[in-house]
Order: sequence, then structure tokens, then C-alpha cells
Amino acid sequence: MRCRRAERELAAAVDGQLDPRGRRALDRHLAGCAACRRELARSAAVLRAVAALPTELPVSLALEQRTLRRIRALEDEGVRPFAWWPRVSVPAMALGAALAAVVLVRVVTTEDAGAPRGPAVTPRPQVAAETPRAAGPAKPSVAVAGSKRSPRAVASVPKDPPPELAAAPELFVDLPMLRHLEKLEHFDAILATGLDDAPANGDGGQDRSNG
Amino acid sequence: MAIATVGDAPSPDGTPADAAAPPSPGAAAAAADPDVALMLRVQAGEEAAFQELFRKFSPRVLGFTRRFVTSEARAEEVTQDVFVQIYRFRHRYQPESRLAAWVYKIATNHCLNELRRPERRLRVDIWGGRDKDGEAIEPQLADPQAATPEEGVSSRELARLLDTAVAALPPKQRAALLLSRVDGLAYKDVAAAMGCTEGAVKALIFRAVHTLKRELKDFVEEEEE
Repeated sequence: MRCRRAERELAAAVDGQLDPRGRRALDRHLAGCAACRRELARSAAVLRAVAALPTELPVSLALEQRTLRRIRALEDEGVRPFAWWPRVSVPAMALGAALAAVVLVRVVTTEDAGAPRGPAVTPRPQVAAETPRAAGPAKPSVAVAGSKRSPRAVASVPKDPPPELAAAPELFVDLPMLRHLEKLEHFDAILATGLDDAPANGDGGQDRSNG
Repeated sequence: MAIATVGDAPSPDGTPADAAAPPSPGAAAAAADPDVALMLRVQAGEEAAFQELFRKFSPRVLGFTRRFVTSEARAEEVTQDVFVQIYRFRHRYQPESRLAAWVYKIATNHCLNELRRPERRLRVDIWGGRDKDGEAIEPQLADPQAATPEEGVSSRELARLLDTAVAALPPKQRAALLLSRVDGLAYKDVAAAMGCTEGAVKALIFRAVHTLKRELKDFVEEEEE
């Protein structure tokens, strides 16, 4: 055993917490190392002083009474602050959850069944009112597919794509773009661009045309 | 306060665990250890037994918690919380383990949690208080002769230095040192109380002693001479 290791064992040795094998190894080291013997004496002095610190403080009767009052209050509550919770058995909770799931599914399917189907969809009227650029003739019908996200709106998406999308599907491959068409700065130019034309606007298009 | 416990869970037949019969394996342990017998009575719902338990352990728990919080009033609150938790979780106690170790486990958790609260990260000044006559409370070693050498070192000064140094230790080192030395728990019990290994306890105590040797260098050197 080296001094560094021995020093780590000293406090445990003073506390009598070394196993016999560890204690024998430490003793062998100490027998030949005066420095570690001094460290042992210093550790023992410190630990004796710590052990002599007062361990107890007087407890007032008021503290005892306060604690007992809290205990009695717990008893009155049935010990648990959320007394209703553990008393519900696990099977009952599982049954309740299953029933809730069934009811939820029924509600959703009923709503979907009652929702209007077919292509007649009002495309984002509030966006059109707010954004002047969105008032153009082409935008409302294009914006339908991605503008509404609620289950009811998804259920009412027309089976056939809008004419603009059918005519130029490569312009609309990015679905998030459909949801934010009104934010596109050069949307009208994009629509006016033919399939064989070089891209006239847009960041990527500009780069490509320059390149 | 942590809530979910095995002891609080309902038994398979739907009755609360609190209503279960006292654990019979503890009978032998109870016969050998009066603390266990006392705790079994508490588990059986005997209020007088809980009161007895409180009177037996609360001075030590208060002395322990006082070294982790900034005021005596807060130490009393934490002590109260500790005993409420002891009562709430009384059915988790296993008679095979030492009651003191179990009590200190709860107390240690409370103290370390207390220190994790940002507003509690203040220096512990254990001797900042005054007694009922308005006199400043002076630290005193329980047994000055045990700490001071025969040459006549001032035990009061040593106690003050030691208290300051112990209060400045990192919380886990402080807890390990106090539990092992002041409260006389074996490293195994300290490890159980702190939720770590015996090796970790040994390392914590080594570092604590290393720091204290440096802080109390003058006294330690004098004692050596």
C-alpha cells in the first residue's frame, strides 16, 4: 500500500470501518511510514473533536404538540392527502379509461360523419380578409389543402386536387408551403411561370437562373 | 414531500396497506432491539408509541437538521416534517434494519432537499442564535476532554472553529461525517441513509476529514506536540 492509498483509509480506520484485510494492509504500511502515522494521529484528533460535538438539541413541548396535531390531522384524512386516489382500484381505473376512449372515438367519428364532404370548401376566408395579397383569385382554392389542420377539416379535403395543383404539381411538393402560400413574396409570378420556363423568382429559382 | 410509497399502496384485496397486520418477521428483531419493538407499536397505530418515538429521536433529529438549515425555527419545521413522514411511511420500515438508520435516512433526505431549494442556500450559522435571556449562544463540545489535548487548548474556541468548518463542508460530506461520527452509524447504515455505496461514504468522510484537518491545523498540530 502506498501513502496516497493509506491516507484515504485513515478515517475509516479510526472509525473502525475497515475490513480485517484492509486493516492489516494499512497496519503494515503504518509500521514503516512515519508520515502516515502522523496523518493517522491528526485524523483521529479531528474525528474525536467531531464526535464530541453536541448531537442533540432540546425539543420544546410546543414542537411535539404541533407534530402530534399534524399526525392526528393525517389520521382524520385517512392518512393520505389524496385519499380518493389509492382507493380506486386499478381494474376500475382501466375500465374507466377504456370507456372514455370508446366515447371519444364515437364522438370523433360522429363529427366526421356529419362534416360536409366533397370539393365545396371555404378556403381560409379569415386569412384572405387579413392579407391583401391573399385576395387574388388563385389563392383561396390553392390554400385549401394545407390551411386547415383540425380533424374535421382534414376529413373535408376534396379528393381531387385544385386545378392549380393538378396543373403544376411540382410547384406544390412541399406541403408546408401550401399552408403558407400567402406568405410567399412572389407567388403570382410562380403561378404565371410555365413548366418549361426558367424559374423567374424565389430564392432557389434566382440562384439557379443565375447559375 | 414525496408521496407515492409501497406502504401507501392498497393491498390486492383492496384494503389499505395501513390496515394490514403488523409484520410478524419483526418479532425476533423486536425482542432484541427495543427500538424495533417501539416502531412495531407505531406501525400498529399506537399514538403513545409514536409520542415515545418522537421523544426519543427528535432531539437528535433536531440537532442533525440544525446543521443544514439557517435558523432554529426552520430546523423545527424540518424536524416536524421528518416525523410526519415517519408516521406516514411507518409501514415501510423493515424490522431487520436499525430504526435509527431509517429515521436518519428520512432526516437526511429532508435536509439535502432543503439545501436544494435555492432560497435555502445560505450559510448555516449555527451559533448565531441567542438564548431566552438574550445572551449569545456559545458552542461547546459535549465532552471537551475528548477533543482537547491535556496541554489546555480552549475547547470553546475549538468548538467554534469546528462548527464553522463543519457548516462549510459540502452537504453530502457534512451528512456523512455527522451521521458516522456524531450519530454513530456504521458506514453501511450511513450509505443506506444517503442512498449511496459504502465506498462513496468512505470517500465523502475522507474528503471531509481532509478539509477539517486543514481548517483546524493549529489545534491538530498542538495536540500532536
